[in-house]
Parts: sequence; structure tokens; C-alpha cells
Amino acid sequence: MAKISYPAVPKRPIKPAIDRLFWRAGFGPSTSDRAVYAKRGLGAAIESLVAPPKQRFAGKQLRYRDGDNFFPINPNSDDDNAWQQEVLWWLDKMVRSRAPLVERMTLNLHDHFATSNHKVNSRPQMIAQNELIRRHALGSFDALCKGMTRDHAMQQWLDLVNSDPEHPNENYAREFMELFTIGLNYTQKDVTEIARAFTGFRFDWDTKRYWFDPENHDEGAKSIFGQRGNWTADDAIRLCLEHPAHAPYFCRKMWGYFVPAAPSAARLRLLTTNYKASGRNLGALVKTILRSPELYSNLDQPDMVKPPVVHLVGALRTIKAPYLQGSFRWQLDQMGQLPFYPPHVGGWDQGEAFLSTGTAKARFEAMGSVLQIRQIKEASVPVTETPAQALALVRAQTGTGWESAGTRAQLARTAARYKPQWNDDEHFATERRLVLRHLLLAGPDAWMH
Amino acid sequence: MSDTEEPPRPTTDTIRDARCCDEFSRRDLMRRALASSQQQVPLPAELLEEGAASFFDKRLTRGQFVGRSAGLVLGLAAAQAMAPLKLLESAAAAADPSAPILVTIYLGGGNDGLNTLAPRAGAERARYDQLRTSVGIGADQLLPLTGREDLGWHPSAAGLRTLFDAGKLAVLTGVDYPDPNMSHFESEHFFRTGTVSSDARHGWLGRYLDRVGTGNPLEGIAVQWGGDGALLGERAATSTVHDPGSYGFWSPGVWDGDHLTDAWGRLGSAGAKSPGYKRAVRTTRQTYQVKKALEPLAKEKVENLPKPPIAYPEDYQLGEELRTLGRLLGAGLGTRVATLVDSQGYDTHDDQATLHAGNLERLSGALVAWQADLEQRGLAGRVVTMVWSEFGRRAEDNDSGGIDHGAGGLLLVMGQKVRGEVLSDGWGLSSLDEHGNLRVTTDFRDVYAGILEGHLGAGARDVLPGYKGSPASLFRAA
Repeated sequence: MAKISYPAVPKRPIKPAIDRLFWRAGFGPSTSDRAVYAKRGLGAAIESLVAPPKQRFAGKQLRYRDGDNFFPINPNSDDDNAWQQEVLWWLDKMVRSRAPLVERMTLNLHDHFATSNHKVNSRPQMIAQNELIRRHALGSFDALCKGMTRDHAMQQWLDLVNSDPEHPNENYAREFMELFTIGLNYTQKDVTEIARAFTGFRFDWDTKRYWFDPENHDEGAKSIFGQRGNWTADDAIRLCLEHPAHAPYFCRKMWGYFVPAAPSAARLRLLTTNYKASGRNLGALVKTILRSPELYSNLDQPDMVKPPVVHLVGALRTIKAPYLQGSFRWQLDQMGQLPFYPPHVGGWDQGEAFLSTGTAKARFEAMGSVLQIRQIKEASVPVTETPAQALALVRAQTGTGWESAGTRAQLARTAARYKPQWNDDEHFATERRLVLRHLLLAGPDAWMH
Repeated sequence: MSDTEEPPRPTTDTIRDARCCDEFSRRDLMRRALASSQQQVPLPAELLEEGAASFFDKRLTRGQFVGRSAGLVLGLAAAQAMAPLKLLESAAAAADPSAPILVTIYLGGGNDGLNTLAPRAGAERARYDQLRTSVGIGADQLLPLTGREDLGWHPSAAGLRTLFDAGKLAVLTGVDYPDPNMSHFESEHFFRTGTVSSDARHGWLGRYLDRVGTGNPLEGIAVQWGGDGALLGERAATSTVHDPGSYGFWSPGVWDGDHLTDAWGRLGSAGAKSPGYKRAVRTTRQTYQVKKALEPLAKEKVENLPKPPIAYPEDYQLGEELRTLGRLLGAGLGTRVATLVDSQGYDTHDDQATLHAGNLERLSGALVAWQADLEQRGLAGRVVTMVWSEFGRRAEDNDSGGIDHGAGGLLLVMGQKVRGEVLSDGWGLSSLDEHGNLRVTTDFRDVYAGILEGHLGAGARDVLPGYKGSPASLFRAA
């Protein structure tokens, strides 16, 4: 069997490469990430991400604010105001995570196995699926696929429960091949045969009980990808994962979450070799991607659009938010990526597809809600503060790392236009900072990573 | 009925009541009215009950409407003159007040066309009964299709029947592409790009706007929060508008929001290298333009606006979005194409009976309200509405009370000048393909070509790459 070998990471320029790594593999670098890994190097930074600390979260669960009141996040609550608590539950995890790659991969795999609570209609089941993904986010993909096939949210979402041997439901069988494992490399015959192998999972509406009933499993011979046998669900999963199309399909897709340009043939070969040699281990695959030089191209002009969740969480980590806003739930929806509610089983269209005039405006307002968490007290800014001082200060507090020449020039012009409107005007200096920091967090440069 | 009350909603109940009372005379009245003036009678009178008379009384003349739209355009131009928006000004000047408009509505998930317009009699019906043992609809339940005995409307699709009887609905069955693969994603992608190529990047409406657009982002509107791949073009400027009032740009603690947004609209470097960043900068500029353009509409109080002649179904996103679109089109912002989505609720692998009935009731109610809204606004002569879905469902049902993915779907084209009939032979249940699917009798690209050439005045081959078919004849001779 082929051996695992990782590409050599680029040596310099180190600072923008560290920024790039922590954005693509997480939610942006902290001040200490920048300082530590500028010295220890990119390779060490990647190791810290793929082998995260045991204690996964810093501090205690955040509360969220609605109007003037603060509430604990409680996804098990049945209260009226508990809508989409699961979204806040996960946002809190992403904001406090000390294993940002695990959370980012959980987000990527949620997109990959996209399941919507619109149909599942059960917060506990959605959260159980999320925990399943988190457990396997850098582990065995085989184990994740087996777990997913038995996951109650998934079984409801793609109609796997109560699929009857007489007329097996094809929904899960088709998407398991097309989206989860091998791409469009199957025939309708494979769909019907795998649907037979996937029969036997039962659910009782009255008791809400899930179980596997051998009586309802089609034990007969099935022909999957031309191989005949009395295949079970796990056999069908294995046949898909061993299908020659699986590794290229899946590695290419995972690559797409980190690098905007498609991998070269040689790069794809290395990805699939490492993926297979590691026993289809997600950690080995992601480490190969993070060490690939393509991840560090265009450091002078970031070329990948941040998914809305990453933009929001990155901003919250930047300002070290001590609480969340209840409004993030509908704001994420308007930004075009409400976790637990993907638009369909194919997940969110990534990259440029996240950009529209509607979502641009939603990003602007969500950043307003982020900044509201760190309100600047009226008249607390000295009127003697110069435009340059104001800019330096907001860059240190809310800058996300990169500014284009055009943005730099516009910020300088904007900073300069704030002058007292009348003799006793103290507000202008506050206004200048409020405006500049909003521009920094909400402009097109901040959408990129 | 007082002036302030909402007109009655077109529920199926009122429609059924209307029918069982004096179907004949009402239908007759409507037909006579239709014959007397194509322009004048937009409305399915039977939907209106007592509301009908008051609707017709209150109707503004076409002249009044033109005047009103012109006022809005002038107001918009004045607002723009104060803002440094040369592009928009020239776009507004270029906006042709008689240019054709296309509205598309996507039924997400794969609408079951076979149950929307089901076999009602004959050999097809016998075959249907064999195939659809759990989700089949009884022949006596179906609403008759005027002019044809063999087919009937789903009992919840009374609105479609109304529109069809008014001659405003062209119906095509078996619409798909050759050798359909029944994947949501591939099929959606094909329908959005107007190709059968997985690699196609641009949408068919984006390519159309690439040819006719002037750079005004309101020429192509996705009426939703996110963008729509069908509108994605090489250069085409497009926008997403969920609500004109939604371009407010709030910032906590900031006193002068205009200073902030004026600066925000100028952020970024125009000379970008990567396509991603290029689009990010362009999207920022366009968002700012749209904000400026919508300011007059955003100031209108919705409760003060004239009510649509027939109320849109309540608590129904597509209905609200169509109402918004009506305001946008009425304001004369230069819109040429608009896209809407009716959720993903058509993927009925289970519980089809309940889900599909609800879908069709809301959808057909909204379409009736939409057509009436357009007619009241004097826009019906310019607007064609196409309703599509990525595939039809399997001929035979599954054992979960649902139907799996299939092929050969139903496509509707609505408007004043469409050939208001069923433009295909029927479903052909006796000659299913090897997978038990409905045969594809119309290539969806032929429908697009028919709309491009018959309505939008564009060459099909210029917009649909590699197109070699023959455009469907969808419209009456002028």
C-alpha cells in the first residue's frame, strides 16, 4: 500500500500565510496565533490545528441578548422564544472553540451531509447529528458514513425510516452515492439495489422509537456496481467507499472547501493516495490540503469568499464577544447560510454564489449587530484624536488582516471628513470610530479570506 | 364591502362554491367579457364573488396607471440626480417602458406534474390507476380540463383551472432533457444554465442580460435573499430584492448613516485579480446602486398602497414575493427578468397527498393573484410568467405514501398572449421508459427558445449555447 507523504509547506512570507491558514482552517487568527506561529512556522501551526488540545472550548457557554435582556442558550426549551436555539448553540461553540479546524470541518461536513431542520423538525436530533459530525470531523470517514446512515435526523431527512422492501424509498440511496460518496457515477439500477440494502430501519410515530427490524430488511441478493451478494446497509456503504470514483470525488470536494481553484491532476493524486493510505482518514486528507502550496496562492489579494458563518464567527472572535445577539439567527438566514437549515440536500452553493446585493446588505447589518456588542460610549473619544490615530485604533481592534489599496484610500478619505459640526460637538470623534470600524468589518475585503 | 377591507381570498372553497352555484352563467359572463375586450378583462370573475363588482368599479384606466408609473420614474430620476450615480441615470433613461419582461418561478424539489394535471378518462386513466395505488387521485375528484376529456386538474389547483379557462395558461407535459438522470442538482443546473452541460457557469437569463442589459442591477432581480444561478452572467448586473424596505443599512450609534453607506459603496479595489474578489467589489457597488434606486419605494407605507385586486394567499412567501415584484415592476426600474423560488417542498418522497395539495393550493392562488395584479397595473401585456421544476416524479408511487424522482415534468407559461391550451399530447403512460419514467416529449430548451424568440425578442442560439432544436410555439400570432 502506498505511503502517506505530505507536501513541503512554503517558507515565506510567513505572516500572511499564517493569516491565510487560520482563516481557511478556522475563523481567523488570534493575536497570539499570529505571534506564536510567526516564530514557530507554518508546519507547527498546521500541527496545532490537526491535533487540537483536549479541552475543546474556552470558558463557559455564552448567553444571548434579545432587546435589553440576556438569556441562556437552551436548545431543549420548548418556549416560544426558543426558535432556532440550535443555531445559537453552535455559534457559541464556534466562537469559543480552541479546536477551530474541528468546528470548520464540522461546518464543511454539515454542508456535505446537508440536513435541514425544516423537515426533520427536531432540535435534539439535529444537535445529535452535529455532535456525530464533530466526533468524526478529523477521523474515519467510514465510521462517519455508518453513523450517518443510523442518524435519526438523516433517516427522517432522506426518508430512510420505514423504507419498505416491497417498494424501497430511493431518496437516501441516490444521495448517498451522488452527494456523499461517488458523485454521478451510478446507474438507476444501483439506486434501486442500494435502496433495497438500506431497508429495515423503522420508526414509530406514536412512541417516537427508532429501531432496526430484520423482518423489514430485504435479505435477497442485490447487484451493486455489478457485484452480487446479499448486501446489508454496511456492505452498501463499503461498496460505495471502495468504488474507484469515491476517493477522487470526495477529495476534490473537500479541497473545494479550502482552495477556490480545482486541484491539478498531480495534486489530486496525492490527496487520494494519502486519503486511501490513511484508511480514509479525514485528518490526513485535511493535513495534506493545508500543507499544499495552492492554499497560499494570492496572499496579496485573498481569492476565496468567506462563507457567511465564517465571516460572522470571525468577527465575533475578533472582538472577543462576551455574548451573542439573538438576531444572528435571522441575520444568518439573510446572509444566505443559516446552519441547520441548508437550502437543500446539496448544501449551500459556495464561493461567489454567496454574494448578492441582498446578502451583501445582510452582511453589513450583521456586522452592525456584532459591533453593538462593543458599543463606544458617547463622547468617550477625545476630540483631539486625529484621523490617523482613529484608523490605527480601529484596525487593531476590528481589522481582519487584509486591506486592498482602494479600501485603504477610501478609509483615509472617510476618516478625514469627520470634523466638528458645531462648537460643542463632541460626537464627531465617536462617529468617526463607529463608521470606520463598521467599514472595516463589512466591506468587500472583509468578505474574503 | 367597504373600501378598507381586503378583497376575498381565492380559496378553493369560494371557487368550489362559485362553481356549484351557477358555474355556467358565471363562466359565460367571463367568456363574453373576454371576447369583448382582451385588455379589459383580466379577472376570473368567479373568484371575486361580491368583490368582483367593486374591483371593476375601482379599476383605474390604463392611462391613469401609465401616469402613475411615470411619476415614480420621474421621482426616481430626481433622486438619482442628487446622487453621483451616472450609471443608474443612463440605465433609467434607457429603460424602455414597453420592453418585454420574463418572470420565472421555480418549484423546488421536483413537482409531480402527473398529479397536477392527471389522466381523467380512457386507457391512460386505467394505467394511472395501476401505477398510483397510494397517491392517485380519483377521477371524480379531478377538476375538468376545458376542451379535453382525458385530463383533469388536481382538486387543489382550482386557480390553474381558472387561469387556463381565461386563456392565459399554456401547459406543457413531458418537459425535460434527453436521457434525464433524475438528480436534483444536475437537473436544476441544466434548467438554470439552459444547457445540458455540468461545466456551464452562467445562467440562461444572465446570458440574455449580457446581450440586452445596460449595467443597471435592477434589470435582473432575484426576488429572495440570496442570488439565483439563472441570472449569473459574464457582465450582467443583477440584484436580489426581498423587499424594497430591506435596503436600510443600520449601524448602531451612527447618526449619519448616509455618510457611512456612501463610503461603504466605494470600498475595495476595482482592478481585482481573482474572480471572487472582483465579484465581491462589484456586488458592493451594485448593492449601493440598488439601495439608492429603491429609496423612493422604501419610503412608501405598504398599508397605504392600493390593495392587489385579488389578495395573495396569506403566510406564503412566494405570494409576498410576487406582491413585492409587482411594486418593483410598477415603479418602472428597468427590470427585464425576475426569478422566484417556491421553497423545496415539492420533493415529495413521502406524505405526498397532504404536501402536494397544500403546495398546489397556495401556488395556484398566488398565480391568480399575480396575473390580476399585473393586469391592474397595466403590465400584463409585457409580462410572461414561466413556472418550472427540475423534473417530474416517477409514474409509480413508492410505499412511503410518496413518489421518487422521475422525468418528464409539467411546465406552465402564463400571460396575455400565450396559446392558452395544453400544448402536448398527454403523459403517455402506456409507453414508459425502461426506468418506469414518463417519456420526454418536449426539451426544456425548446421552451426557453420559444420564450426568447416569441416574447423576449432574442435569438435562441445567441443565448443557449449549442442550441439546435426548434423553438416551441407558445404565443398566439400578434
